[in-house]
Parts: sequence; C-alpha cells; structure tokens
Amino acid sequence: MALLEVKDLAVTFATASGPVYAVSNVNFSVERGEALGIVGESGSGKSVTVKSLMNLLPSTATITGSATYDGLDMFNLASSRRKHFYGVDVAMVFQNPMTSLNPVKRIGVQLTEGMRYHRNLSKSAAKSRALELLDMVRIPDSAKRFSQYPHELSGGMRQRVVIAMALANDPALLIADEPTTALDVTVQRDILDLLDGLRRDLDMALVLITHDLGVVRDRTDDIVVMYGGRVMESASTAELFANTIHPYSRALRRSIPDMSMPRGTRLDPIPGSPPDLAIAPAACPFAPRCVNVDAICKFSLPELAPDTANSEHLFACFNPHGELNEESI
Amino acid sequence: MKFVAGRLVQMVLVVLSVTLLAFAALNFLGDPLFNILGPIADEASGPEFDEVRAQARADFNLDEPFLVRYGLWLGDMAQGDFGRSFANGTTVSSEISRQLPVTIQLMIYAQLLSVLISVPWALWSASRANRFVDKASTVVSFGMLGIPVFALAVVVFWLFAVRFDIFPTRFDDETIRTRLVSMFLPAMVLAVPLIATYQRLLRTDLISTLQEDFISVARAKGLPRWRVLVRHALRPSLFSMLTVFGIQTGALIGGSLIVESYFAVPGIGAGVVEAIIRDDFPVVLAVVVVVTVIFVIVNFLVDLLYSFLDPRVQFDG
Repeated sequence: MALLEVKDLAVTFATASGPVYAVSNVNFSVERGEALGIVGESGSGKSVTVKSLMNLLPSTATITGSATYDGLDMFNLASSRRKHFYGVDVAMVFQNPMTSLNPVKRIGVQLTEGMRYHRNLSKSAAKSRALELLDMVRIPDSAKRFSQYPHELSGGMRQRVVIAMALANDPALLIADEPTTALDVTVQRDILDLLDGLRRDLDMALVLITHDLGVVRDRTDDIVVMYGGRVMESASTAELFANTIHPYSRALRRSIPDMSMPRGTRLDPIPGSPPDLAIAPAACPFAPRCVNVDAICKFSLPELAPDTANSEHLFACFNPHGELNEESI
Repeated sequence: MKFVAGRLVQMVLVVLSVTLLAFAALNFLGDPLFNILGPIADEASGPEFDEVRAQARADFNLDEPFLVRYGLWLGDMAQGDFGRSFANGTTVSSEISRQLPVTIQLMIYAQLLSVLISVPWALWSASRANRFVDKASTVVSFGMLGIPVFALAVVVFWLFAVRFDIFPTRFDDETIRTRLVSMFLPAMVLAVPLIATYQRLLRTDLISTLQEDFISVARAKGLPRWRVLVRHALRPSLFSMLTVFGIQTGALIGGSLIVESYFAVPGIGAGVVEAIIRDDFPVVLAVVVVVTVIFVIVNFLVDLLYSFLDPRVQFDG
C-alpha cells in the first residue's frame, strides 16, 4: 500500500462571482521513503492540492475525492487521530521563509512547541532535540540561534529552521511547497540538496512542489505535471525525461535552460497565460497555448490514460504527437 | 537609552506647554483676580474681602509679570505645593492626594475590565470572522460605542443598583472588597466604550494576522486552533489596541468627571467638577497638571511596550 494515495481529488472555491475550479481529477501516490515532484506553473493547482491534504484551505473550499495516508482517510480522520496527525505523521515546509516564522517568537519556542504539544516533552528534552534538529539542517551555532528571533537570521537560515520545525516529530511524509522559490539562487541548491539528503537519511517520503522541472529531475522518483488544476502527465522521473509525451510537459522542458545546450540556444517560452479557473473545465485547459491543438481539444476534456508502451506512464492529451490536424475531423 | 532620554525631554515639554496654556487661560481670559475669586474680586467690600483679595494676589503673584508668575507657580508645583483652595482654605495638595488614588484605582479598574472582556471577545469573533456571530457582535460593539457615558450611567445605576439592588448605590471604602464591589458599576460604565473600541481594533488586526503564512505554518504543526490564535496571532495583533489604550487614558479621565460625580466616587473627577462650579481655580489648575502628567506617563509606558510586543522594534536603530 502506498503511503499517500490521492484519488480523484477536486477542490472548488466558492467566491462572490461563482465557483472556482482550482483542482480537478488529481490522482497520484507516494510510496514510503520515496520522492514525488509536482510540477506546474502558477495557478496550476499544485499548492491547493497539498493545502487540501494539510487541512489548510479556507472554509470556502469544497473538497471531493479521497486521500489516504497509510490507509487512513485523511479527509475524515477520527478526532483522536487528527489531534496528533498534522505535524507528526505529515509535515509541511512553506514557500516563503521570510513570512513562515512568527516574527515575535524566538526560534527555540517555535521549534519546540510542536514536540511539546504532540509528545509532551519536557522543556529541556525539547530543547536538546531542537538543537539536534538545528545541527541536522546544518545551522551553525545552534545554541545561539535557538534564542534568537527570526529577523536575526538570513532567508536561507530561516528556511532551514522551517525545515527543522517540520522534522521535529519525525514525519513519515514531508510536503515541501516551492521551498526555494523565495530564496537567492545561490542558496536554492543547498536547501534542495539538504531536503534530498534528509529524506534519504530519515527514510521519509517527500512531495516536492516546484515550477522548475530541473529541480525535480535528480531528486525525485516520480513526477506529476499539473496544468489548470489538472494532472497532464505523470510517470517515473526517468521515464518522463526519456519519453516526454504531453505537449505541455515538452513545452516546460524547452523553457528551462540546460547546461548541455549549445551556446546561443534560445529558450522557448510558452506563449499565453494560464486558464481562467472560474469556468468549469469542458475542454483541455492547455488547448489555447498548445502547439498540437486540434478541434477535439477545444470541446472535449482528455482523460488521464496510460501510454500503450508503459502502463505506469499516464497522460491526458488527444494529440500528443501532432498527428491530428483540424482538417482530419 | 537614547530613546528613553529623548522621550523624557518630550514629556517635560508636553507638561510645560499644557501647564502654560492652562495658566495663561486663567491669567488672560478676563481679569485674573476675578477668575480666581469670582464676583468678590471687585464688587464685595469690607475688610474680610480685602484680606481674601490680598491673599489671592500674594498666592498667585499677581503683581509680578506673567512669565515670572508662571515660573513661580511652576516652581511651587514641582515641590508639590499646589496652593490653597479658595473654597475651604485647605491645601490643594492634600485634596489631590486624597482624591487621586481613588481616581487611579477607578481608571485601572476600568482598563482592566476593558482588556479582560475585549480580548477574549475579539479572539472569539476574529476566529469566526464574517459569520453570523461575528456580525452580531459587530452590531453589539457599535451599540456600545454609541451610548453616551452619562446616559449609560443613569441606566446602569437604576438597573443594577436600584431596580435589582445587586450593587450598592454608594461608594464604600470600608475594605478592599467593598471598594471593588462599589466601584464596579462606575468602572463598567467607563469600560463599555473602551471594550467596544478595543474589540473592533483587535478583531480587525487579528483577522489580518490570521492571513499570515506563519499562522498556516503553526496550523501545519498540528497545533489546535485556539492555541494558534492565542499563542501566535494575538501578540502581533496588539499594536493598534495598545496605541489606543494609551490615548484612551485621556478620554477615561474626561469620563471620570461624569461617572465620579454621578456615582459619588470621591475622586479627582468629582473634585474638579465641584471646583469648576465654585470657580476654585487653584484646584482646577492642579488637576490639569496631574492629569497631563498621568497621560504622558501612560503613553510613555505604551511606547516602551511596543518593543516588548515586537522584538523588531528597536528604539536606537
């Protein structure tokens, strides 16, 4: 049984101007100790997906479908189980370390409060565990940092603290929502490598959300590509890079610089902008920006279906190879 | 420390200018002797009135130029000599030292009630923002803001002291307990608009704090909702409320004029109302000084509290 199994997840927000279909038909699973990358641009529904799993969505959100953690229905946890579920079994690292820490509370307090609440640790036991965690995320001078306030730390250091906080109760699943987007490029790699190393050392499953395919390439076992709130393609990382099927995934790959590109190669941005999620999906959301667009793409919604050559490789596209053209229909 | 020194200089300047204004009002709006003594200043004749007039001229140094007069008066003030009441001849400082503690107790009592009621109320309504209970409590708090203190005093007094006889009708100084019980109604009347003000401000700030990422982080740690609210959202949301807390201290002194007179609490507010009616200017001046000093000190403490609430507030930065 997979550690996390998401089936037919859909999230709709009620707004003053009608419903917004933020996420629909999302399916994926994560095995124990493995890493899954969720890739997509802004508005693709990746953050909403994980927030629904973390029970962090506002009350205007309606969630349908199911998510199971170790066989447990995450959307209908018994209250006794729920009390020590988030922050214990599943933990999360957020996008912006500059705003993820409470500015008026010392690092130490924020690090220890989760352990003290969930495990009833004494103050001193929690402190020694916190110092251990700070060493683990490679923060030098942990004892000094413990009694400092967030504003006394740099962005990279703060994200390390946020990661340490998430690891406090040894979660089996860590969700990292664009953990490096808000950081300097020079520290992005350090943080990603840190997460990767911690996942291996602690044998923890990781869901890594990013808009950058390059980030997940060497750090994940599987990849889910999302667009317009839907899964466009999902496969093992090796398979996805060897055989990119969906036109959106291919466009994403072409828009990312690669050191092996010949000098002078121009990047290929994806024209247009993400779809309006206030319209109920009735056609392929990527159709307006797709190079392989065909008549059928504009009035019918492609289902996520396995590739004939590899049943583990799923994609949602009528015309992945541009074989159809408008006249043929 | 530089900040504290700067603020102390500021405080002294505020006290100086307020006292100068009050003293100037007494001296320049009409004949000072008339202001001090009323009609007996020039109309009444007879040796006893001559004596009173002479005493007033001496007490207020009326034969000196204005600034010298002000300086002499200020010097006396600084030494705790507030002059002598014209109404009954007792020293003003003895009156004030009798009345001031009562008023300070009433003010602390009212602020304490306000904070103790408004903070849980704001937490409760912010956590249910825009739902029915929150909207209903908005209506209630606007109602509380709208009621004038004098009207509220009459209603509350009649209802709880006369009709249902829960609280005594008179100020009772016997023990601490009787004092607290008998001061409950006046303190509550003063507190009602404050409760509503604090609740509005704190609720708004809490709602915006609850949108912050660090609140999501705290919730993702699996902390229960109320704990996130109290431990993470409350402190960063207290700024507006604290600022208004300082400013409202001034309004509270104004309110105590009405409330103390109505509930017969022998404080400085009731005292100054009597003094105004009797044209007892030494008393009025002394109260102006005392009230200004209290106001300035409270607001200074509020400034110091900012850095306690948020460690990023650095005074010497």
